[in-house]
Amino acid sequence: MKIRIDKLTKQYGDFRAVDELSLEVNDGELVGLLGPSGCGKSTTLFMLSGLTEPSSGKIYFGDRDVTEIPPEDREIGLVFQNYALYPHMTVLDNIMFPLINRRIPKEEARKRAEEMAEIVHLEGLLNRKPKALSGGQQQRVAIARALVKKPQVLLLDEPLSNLDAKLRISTREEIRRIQQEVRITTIFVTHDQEEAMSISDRIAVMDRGRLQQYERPQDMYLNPVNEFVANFLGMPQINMFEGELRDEGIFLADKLLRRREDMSEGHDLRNGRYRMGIRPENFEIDPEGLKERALHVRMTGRDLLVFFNIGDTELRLLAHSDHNFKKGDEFSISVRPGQIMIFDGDGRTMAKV
Amino acid sequence: MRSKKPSAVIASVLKYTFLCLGAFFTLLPFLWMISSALKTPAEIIKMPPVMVPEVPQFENFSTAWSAAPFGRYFINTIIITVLTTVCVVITSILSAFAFSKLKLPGKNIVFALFMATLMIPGEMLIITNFITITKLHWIDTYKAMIVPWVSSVFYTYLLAQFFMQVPDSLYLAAKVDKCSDFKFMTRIMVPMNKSAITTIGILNIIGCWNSFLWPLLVTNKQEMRVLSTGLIRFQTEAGTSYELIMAASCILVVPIIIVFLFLRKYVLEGVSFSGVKG
Repeated sequence: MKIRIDKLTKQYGDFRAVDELSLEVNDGELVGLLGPSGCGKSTTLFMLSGLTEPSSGKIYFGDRDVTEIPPEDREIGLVFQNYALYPHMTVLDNIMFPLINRRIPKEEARKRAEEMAEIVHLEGLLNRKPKALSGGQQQRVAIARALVKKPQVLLLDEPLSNLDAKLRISTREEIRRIQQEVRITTIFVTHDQEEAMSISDRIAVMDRGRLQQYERPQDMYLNPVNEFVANFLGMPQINMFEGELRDEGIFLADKLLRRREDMSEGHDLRNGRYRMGIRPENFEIDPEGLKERALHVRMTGRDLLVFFNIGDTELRLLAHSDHNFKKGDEFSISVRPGQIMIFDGDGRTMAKV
Repeated sequence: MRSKKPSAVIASVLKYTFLCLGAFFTLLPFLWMISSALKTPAEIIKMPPVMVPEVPQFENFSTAWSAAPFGRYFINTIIITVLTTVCVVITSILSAFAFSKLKLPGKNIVFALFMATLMIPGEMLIITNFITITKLHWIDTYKAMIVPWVSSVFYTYLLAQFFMQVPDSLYLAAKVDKCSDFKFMTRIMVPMNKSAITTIGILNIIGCWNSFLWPLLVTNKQEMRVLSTGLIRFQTEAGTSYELIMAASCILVVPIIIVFLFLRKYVLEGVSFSGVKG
């Protein structure tokens, strides 16, 4: 089912939790709503579910305007952050609950619930109470309960936030697998950029109620439209600093980062000071480059995170863990071509040079 | 065995001494009641009092039982207790659910007013209620003993507190699953709060069973008396037969002790809201 959101707004007094959000989701797509807490992503999800009434704007499922339709008639499956399983019912009863409420005969309801349990790999746990399940299993019960009534849209509110790090990765793959298997249009909310990038077809990044960018994860990571998105995506975070564009090129604290003739774009930029960003992985070891000294080094497993200063600006670079960096070591680096982002006064991306 | 610090030993000695004393003083009236029920009239008023009667007077029980229509009192008490408790449980569930989960305009103000009535002394209510009952010509009827007690602010408040602990997401999830408010209440809220509901039921049964002043006020005929008011049978102008009152009291606390022992596990079961993490 295709979803179209048109200038959706939710206002609480003077505060606009969601501000004229417009978005289209294709049939069968998995879209992540990403943003810091309070950015309006959950409000958006609850407006899609019908549990929160929008102040203005329209929501279409397919060609149908569902803005005024109550949640139970919207053909949505909703999974809550805390799963909202009924603790006194068995797994099977939990999954059957939406069907029983829709007056589907008990035998058929049981059959469909069992089929659903098989899709989410819960066979053999059907007679347990939710308390006796792990977090990941409870999550799958919640998804099965949401999907058993064959909804057109699946909505997930922070589906992984209650799980520990390892389970998080396997569960997100599981969500992706189930979504692909059922071919259902899915929207999920998260504040974890890695989670959003890893399983979404497209990501919508929101900040303070406004949509910042809506794009495939890779495109968004490589070409953020503004400083906020550049900052929000990527771990470790992008290095942000105030650089200066002169006739010779881009300088940070009087050190030349990029010669003017090497700039791939942005030749029409006027000289002056700009906000700039370089992702930690976009420094490379270059004997011809700037000589710097490692202030300290963190081992993260696959990579080394090296802290250093240029002038007063603290920067981090990621190097492969087989490099032999130690605290106090000297090294020479340059920035990979096309990897210095330049932002204008409003934070919009102007060029990548 | 692990050796303990002397201070820890002293602390636990003090603790258990205190608990034993507490238990002793709690049990004392009961023991006194039982021993008095087995005394002769002479032993009852003997000074200094005797704890163990010389010859236990077991016939006190049969005398007390046959001195008044206790069978009838029993039935009256059971009818009133059961009907009142069923009504109180139902009204408390309904109102607690409305106060805790439904979106109603002015809900909090109504709840505050509700709570404010807890500050009115019960004796004042008794006078007003008595006048109302008289005007309705309900004296000497069951409804006089039932209707004024079919709802309870305190139990509503208690239950609402339990209901509020049920996460809203359960309510919203049920809503998305096409579950009506009433069905949510009966299928989810009530089973989830079984222990709390049982607790208010038991408290109300005990309260009803022991109520004295109100049944005394609104009944004049003997056949409408309940067990507690039936005991005044033994208080006559000629004096009070304490040994018979005590024997009758022994008989009438037995059912309530049985009820409590039987349902105790529900009270102690504890309330768990685990399908929800976080």
